[in-house]
Formats: sequence, C-alpha cells, structure tokens
Amino acid sequence: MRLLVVEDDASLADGLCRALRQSGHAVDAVTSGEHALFALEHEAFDVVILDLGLPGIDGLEVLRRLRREDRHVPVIVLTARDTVADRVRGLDLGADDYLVKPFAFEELEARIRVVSRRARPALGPSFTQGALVIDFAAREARTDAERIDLTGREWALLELFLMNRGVALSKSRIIQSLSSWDANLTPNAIEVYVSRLRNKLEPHGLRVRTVRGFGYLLEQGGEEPHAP
Amino acid sequence: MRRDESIRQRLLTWLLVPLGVLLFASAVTAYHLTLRAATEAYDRALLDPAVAIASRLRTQGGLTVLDVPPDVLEMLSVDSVDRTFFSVVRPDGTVLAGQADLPAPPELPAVGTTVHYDASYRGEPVRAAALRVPRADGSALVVVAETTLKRNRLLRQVLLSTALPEVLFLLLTAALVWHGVARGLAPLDELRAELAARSHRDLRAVPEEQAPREVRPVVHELNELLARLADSMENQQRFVANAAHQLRTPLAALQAQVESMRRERAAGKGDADLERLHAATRRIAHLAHQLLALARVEPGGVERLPPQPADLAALVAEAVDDWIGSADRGRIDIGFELEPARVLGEPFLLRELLANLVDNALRYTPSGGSVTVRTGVRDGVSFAEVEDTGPGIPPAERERVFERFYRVKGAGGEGTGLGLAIVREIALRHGAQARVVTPASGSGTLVEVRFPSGGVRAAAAA
Repeated sequence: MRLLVVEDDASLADGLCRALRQSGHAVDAVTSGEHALFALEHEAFDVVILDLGLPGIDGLEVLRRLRREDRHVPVIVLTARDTVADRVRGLDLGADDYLVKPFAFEELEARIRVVSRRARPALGPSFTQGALVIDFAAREARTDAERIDLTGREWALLELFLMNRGVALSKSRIIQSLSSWDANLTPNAIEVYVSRLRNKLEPHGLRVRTVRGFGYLLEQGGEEPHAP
Repeated sequence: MRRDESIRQRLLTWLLVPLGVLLFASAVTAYHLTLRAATEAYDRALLDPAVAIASRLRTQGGLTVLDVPPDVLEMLSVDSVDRTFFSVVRPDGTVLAGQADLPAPPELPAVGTTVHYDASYRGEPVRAAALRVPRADGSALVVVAETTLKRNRLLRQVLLSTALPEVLFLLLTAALVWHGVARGLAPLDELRAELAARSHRDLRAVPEEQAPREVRPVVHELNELLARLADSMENQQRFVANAAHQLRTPLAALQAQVESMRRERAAGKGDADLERLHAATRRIAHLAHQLLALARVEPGGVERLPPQPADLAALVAEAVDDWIGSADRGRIDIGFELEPARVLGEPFLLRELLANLVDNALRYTPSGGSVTVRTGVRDGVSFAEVEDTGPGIPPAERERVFERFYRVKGAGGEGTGLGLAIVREIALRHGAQARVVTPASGSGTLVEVRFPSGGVRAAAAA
C-alpha cells in the first residue's frame, strides 16, 4: 500500500516510516500541511496518516481542503490534543479514523487495513487465497483440483466476508446485508449458512471464526493471531 | 456556648426556657392573687357573726352581758361544710358564751378593731377573727373561728383552675415555637438540601436572591469560594491538557522508534533487550493515556458536550474489532451478549468507559480464560457489564479497586490501576453506578455499570 505520513515531529515521522516500510508499505513523509497538499495533488496514495498539530496549515485545514476538492483518500488523523471536541471535529471534517498519541503500532496498522478496505468496498474481479481462486464475475470458486459449489446465499455471505476481511460482523449486520435474499432470515439461519460456508472454505485456508454472542470474522491463512 | 450547637437548638432554648419561666411566674402570680381575694372574702364573712354577737352585748349593773338566746347562738355554728366556734369574753376575763378554750389571738387587737389569725383548735386548723368591743367596764373580746375545709377546697380549685390552663398554654406555646423555628429555618434547610444534592463536579453559584437576607452574605462568600475553586480547577485542567499535548508526541515517537527497530531486527532473531524496551514503552504509553483520560473526565474538565441518546450495545459493537485483537494476543475467548441499552450521555466517554471495562478484564484474565461483555435492560435500568474468569477480587477490596492507582495485591498484570477509576468517573458523570460483584458462576470478576437515571444526570448537571 502507498502511504503518506504527514507529521512534523522528525523522530515520530522517522519511526513510523521505518516501521511501516518493514510491514511492506511504500511510505512518503512530509512535515507540513503545504507539502501534504502538494503531494496529494500530484501523487495517488492509498491512505494518509495526518497529524493535526502541524505548523502553518494545520491538519484540520488540510482535511477540510482535501474534502472540499472532493478527494476521498482515506485519512487517519493523529492527534495529541485528546479532547472530545477535536475528535468530533476531525471526524466531522471527513477523517476516516483517528488515533490518539501515543498509540501501539499494531493499532495503527489495523486501522490502515480497515480504512483502506472501507475505501474500496468493491472487490476486484477475483480473489485469491493460496490455491483457492474466487472469480466473482463467473461466480465460481475453485482450486486447481476441484470446483467448490456455493448456493446463492452462500455467495452473498462470502462476498460480505471478503469485503470485510478482518472485521467482526455482527449477526444483525449479516442479516441486513442478506435480507434481499430472504426477508425472514433468522440468526439461526445465519448460523446454518455460516457453518456450510465454513465447511467448504476451511480446507482452503479461509477461516470463518465465531465471535461468541456477536457474529463472525473471516480470517485468511497467515493472518492467524500470532502468539504474544 | 458550644461550637457544635445548632441554631435550631439555640433558638428553641432561648425561646422555650424564658417562655416557660414567664408562664410559670404568671401562673404563680395568678394563683396567689386569686387566693388572696378569696381569703379576704371568707375573712369578711367570718367577721359577720362576730359583729352580730358584738351587737347583742348589753350592760347590766355595770357589767357586760350577752343578750342572745342560746338557740340563736346554736344557729351560728351551723354550716354545711365547716364547723364554727365562738367565744365571748367579758372585760374581767369571764367567758360569757361559747368555747372557753378557743385560742386567743396572738396579739390583742386595738379597741374597736378586728384581727384575723390562723390557729389550731382541737387538733384541727382553724381560721379565726377577733373583735375587741369597747364596753363601759373595759373591752370585751368576741372570737369566731371556723375550720378550714371550705378554704382548702377553694385552694385546690384555684390551684387546679390556674395550673391546668397554664400547662396547656405551655404545651401549645412549645408547639408553636417549635413550628415557628422550623418555618424560620426552612430556607436554611433548603440551602442545605440544594448543596447536599450537588455532585462534586457541580461548582455553579448558589442562587443568592433566594437566600434569606441573614444568610445571603454567607452564600455570597460560598459562591466566591466556588468561583475560585472552579477557576483553579480550570487552570489545572488547562495545565493537564497542555502537559498532555507536550507528552504525547515524544511518547508516540519513542514507541514508533522502538517498533521500527524491533521490526528491522526481527529479520534476525528476537532481541530480548529490545523486547523489554518495547514492553516498557507500551506500559508508559498506556499509563500516560490512562492518566490523561482520567484528568479529562475529572470534575472541572473543561469539555462537556450536550448529552445525546446512545445505545450501549451499539457502542460495544463498534469496538468489537479492537478487543478481538487484544483478546487474541492474550489467548482469551471474548464473547458478547448484547441487548439494546439506551442511555443519554456522551458517547465518546461511554466508549472510553466500555473500553476500560474490557481492557481491565483482558489484562487480569489468564491465558485460556474468557471474557463476556453484556449490555441490556434489567429491572428497567440500562446496564453494561463485563465478566471474566480471572482470579476475582476479594469482597473487602471491591470498593477500593475504583480508587486511583489501587491494584489488587498479587494480581500481576501490567495494569496502571487507573482503568476502574476512569470507569467510575465517567459513570458518576452519567449518574450511573459502577460496582464489582461475584459472577453467577461463583468465580472471576463481574464489573457492572447501571444507569438508573438513564444517564440524564449528565444533562441536568451540564
């Protein structure tokens, strides 16, 4: 992913850039609002990490101008001013998420994943996981060896999960998303569909995990929770 | 004058005691006046037979004699209540009629005058009147005495007719004074109630116009003090906000630097020193965050947004992803039982409250345990609670865990001891109650936050 870090604190910017590069992102860093606007005008970024307390044009102003020009690049706001009013203002101006300094790096990464996914909810024509290829256009899921048959509701469920990889979906949200299929879906019915989908996908590295009492979460192989 | 004496007590003492004394004095006076008037009337009546007898004295052969038929004299002594005695003594000492042993007056009255006196006759108290009548041969003494039964009966009547009303008056007066003092002090009671009902974060001025004139200066000074207090709290809050701002960025930088070093070296094998540095950095960042969060929700916190309707279940649902990550790292099974729980409040703070409840549970639950988050309505009251299978909190410490920096002995973990203090502050701000109980399973910890007022206190105190 291509990221823009807008942060005037040299040490923080340096640490962030190095850690994010280690995670495989392409990272550019600027130290002022003016430079940020210039960079955003000439380059395309997947996510902007924006400090609010910048010299000159501050973060909120950068956000305001960005949204005024109708540009929808996802923005995660970093703020040291942890007042409720600041957070509300940031979100009102179109920030996708905010993080209060200091923050754990995993948290930043998790939010980068979420906002970038939210920004591009449409899936590409196909999705690949190991040997498993899911072709949305052909509505076909297959591996080299076999074809996996999915019913209409299972397809809808799979699409919903893939659009929200790594995000816990509540049962009520799943019911809402699938209600075009069946007006009277019950939580029990969802359990049945999930269990069928799980049986079909699990051998291929896609795991549907149950969040007790809440809903489900799609985990890809290799994205397993690591030991602390 | 004792210092702890109440105004009510002083008023009652200073009104009731003098009033009681006055009433008693007036009763005694009335008693004596009535008694004297009655005694005088009886004394005058006692004189009548003496005068009648005296008018029947004649002179025969130079000697004084009594010219009354004995049966008339008999009639003199007839009375429905008292017995009357008399004696007539000639100037030479001869008893002309009546009882010779009737006691003589202690002092002979002057000739032509009368004297009244108390004496005892045949073992009975008597009241007597003596009349000294001038005669040609000297002066004769007519004595009339009667027993005091009538007088004693009168005495009792007077006593009763003055004392009984006085006692009633006294009781009535006491009741009126009591009531009057209560009415008079009512504004003070109202002021007390108004102050008592306030939360420690409500530093608004007390309305001075409503206070009675005598208390107004006190209320005024109180308001000045409240204003100074609010000022100093605001200053402190501003300092904390500035300190927060100055502290946060370098801490974030430290964390990012450690993180990048850790990632760069992770390519090789793990570096134990770096891991320890990383853990310490996390802890200090967490502590800073908690401290600042607590300072923000403390009384005097400058920011206060108008309360808005929120659903605790929805707020939990928003944060589920964050918690699943932490739960996974600790290998803890996190679960949810969410029913709608509507409250009125500040959603940002309620999120913070929920996050601290869950964070606290995750921190103190050992690997392999479980944490369950519940929201809903019980007995008409919205609630949020988090149950864990951790070591539990002994009953004696359940109140203290809400204190700042208090940590259960031997609990381990990397807690700051501030999580539940933040929970309580935010709960207080919403008129909610936070408490620790034993879960139905009998072990572990259940922290429950109930919103009996639906969180509306936030609206009232805003």
